[in-house]
Amino acid sequence: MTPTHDLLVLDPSIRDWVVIPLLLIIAISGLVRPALQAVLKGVAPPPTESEILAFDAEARARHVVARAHRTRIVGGHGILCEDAYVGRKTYYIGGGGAAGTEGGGKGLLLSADISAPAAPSDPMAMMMGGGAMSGMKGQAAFMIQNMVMMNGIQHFFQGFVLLKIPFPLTNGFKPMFHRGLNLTTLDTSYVSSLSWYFVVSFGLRGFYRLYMSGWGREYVSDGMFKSLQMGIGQGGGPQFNAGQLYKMEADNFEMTRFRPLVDDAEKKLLGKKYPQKISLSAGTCAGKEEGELYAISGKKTKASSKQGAQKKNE
Amino acid sequence: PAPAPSPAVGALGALVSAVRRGLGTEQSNGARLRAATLLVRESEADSAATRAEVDEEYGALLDANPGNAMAAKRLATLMRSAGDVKGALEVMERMVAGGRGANECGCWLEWGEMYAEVGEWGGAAFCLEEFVLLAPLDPDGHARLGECYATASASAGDGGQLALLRRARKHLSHALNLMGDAAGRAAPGATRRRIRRRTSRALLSMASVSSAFLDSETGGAEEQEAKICRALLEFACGELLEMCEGGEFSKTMGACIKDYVEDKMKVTDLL
Repeated sequence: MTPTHDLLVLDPSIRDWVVIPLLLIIAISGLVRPALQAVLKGVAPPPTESEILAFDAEARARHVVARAHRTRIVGGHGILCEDAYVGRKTYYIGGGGAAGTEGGGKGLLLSADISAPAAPSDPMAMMMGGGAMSGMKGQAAFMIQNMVMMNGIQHFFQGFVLLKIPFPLTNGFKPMFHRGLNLTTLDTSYVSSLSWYFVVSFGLRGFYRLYMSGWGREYVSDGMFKSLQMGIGQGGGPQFNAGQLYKMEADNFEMTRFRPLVDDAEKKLLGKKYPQKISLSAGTCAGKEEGELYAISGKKTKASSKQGAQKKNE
Repeated sequence: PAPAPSPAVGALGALVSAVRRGLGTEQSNGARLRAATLLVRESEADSAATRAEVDEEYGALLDANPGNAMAAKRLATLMRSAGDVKGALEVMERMVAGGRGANECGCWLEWGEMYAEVGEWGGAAFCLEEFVLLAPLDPDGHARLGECYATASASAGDGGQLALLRRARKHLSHALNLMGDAAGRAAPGATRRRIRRRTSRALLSMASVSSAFLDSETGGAEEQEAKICRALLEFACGELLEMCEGGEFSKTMGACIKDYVEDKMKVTDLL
């Protein structure tokens, strides 16, 4: 059957008692949700001294890696003079000589005493005591509210056609706008109640972000997607392993070849006025005449013939 | 005497006081509120005693949290403005060693200027090299680094002097290349004139460095290096004369250049 393009007449009461109230309810619930999430998430306990020390050590290690990386990438491209770059390279990875000598020792990256982070002995304890649990608590408000709203709308407004988009849409938009409606012949421009909920929820995110700039913003931008992950231990992420990064950076330093840029700046500045080096002086190869550069027997170069003529005249 | 605080600072002070009154004792001792209060007190500090108190409180913030970069930077700035540059250097060193500020251009630039103030040119050059690594396309960074190398060469031994002057030449050349590229991209008018004004300082430094290289005992003996220096000197002087051509200043500039380089190269054609 072909889709019908006849205009449906929607009861104005739908607009007054369904569309506008739903819009207000969804907007208000979106504004209240961050407060509820903050209450459920609770206040994080203050960090212990060992956690502070570990954090500082990690910050220092990250900075060392960042500086070494910058020196290798930017300095290696010739932003520094070669001897300045070599000096830094020696500081980071050593010069291969004996320790204590100039240019000797292992360098900062290879001699740093860094142990790999300890693996958690009890993964369950790590999950329960750490940020993962509080993150899941925070998402609980969003999940519960979502479920309640969706089930409520499906129960009270199932089969409702609420409004019509003022421009025609292709059939690809049917799943988006006809949720809860099993009418294949209905024009895509009509929006069902469940679809109206999703459109308004996602559409108001920008408004929430503006309204709650600063406080609650974290719940607005990531709340919906984090709840979909539902991963155990998602809050942890990969652990920072300073020793491994140091070793990797040191290996990269070894492989990086210095490319002169600043070293050749004078040539670029002066252009044609840059004084060229004097070409090879009188040949010193055995058996060659003065001025003859390459051994090609029987052939005389201009210079050698001139010099030969000069010698004859003398 | 300290200048009168601006209206904005007065408003901030009133806000901080109101927030303190609204919060409990424990929360009003939080690091952020203390830092905001200290910012207000800094501008109101009208006596040495008050300034010393502010320094002490910033020090206390740092002792409580050595990673407090804001407190470290304010303390270093206050110490430097009070003349205690060595103390400011220690604060900066502690901050960077603690893993803060190492990725900020401003931090390295300030630190380099502090080293230059106390005459530690090696430290100043290191800090400016870090700045240049963070901002490789900034011509002013390369120009300052070149000037720093040139100044450091004055106190270096024979072997080190030439190496530092060579580095200075290269970085100044690179700065001039970058400035030339920027001037070429800029539309004619105020922007291009502004770029050319910055270029004049780099050109003067280039002339000075090239001349110093030629003046050194061994520098003049290296033929290729001496040729390069003469070419750079000619280039710098020519650009400077062209910049002030047609004005009254051009006569003065011409006379200075003539006196300066007369014995190093034939400048009659240039002038």
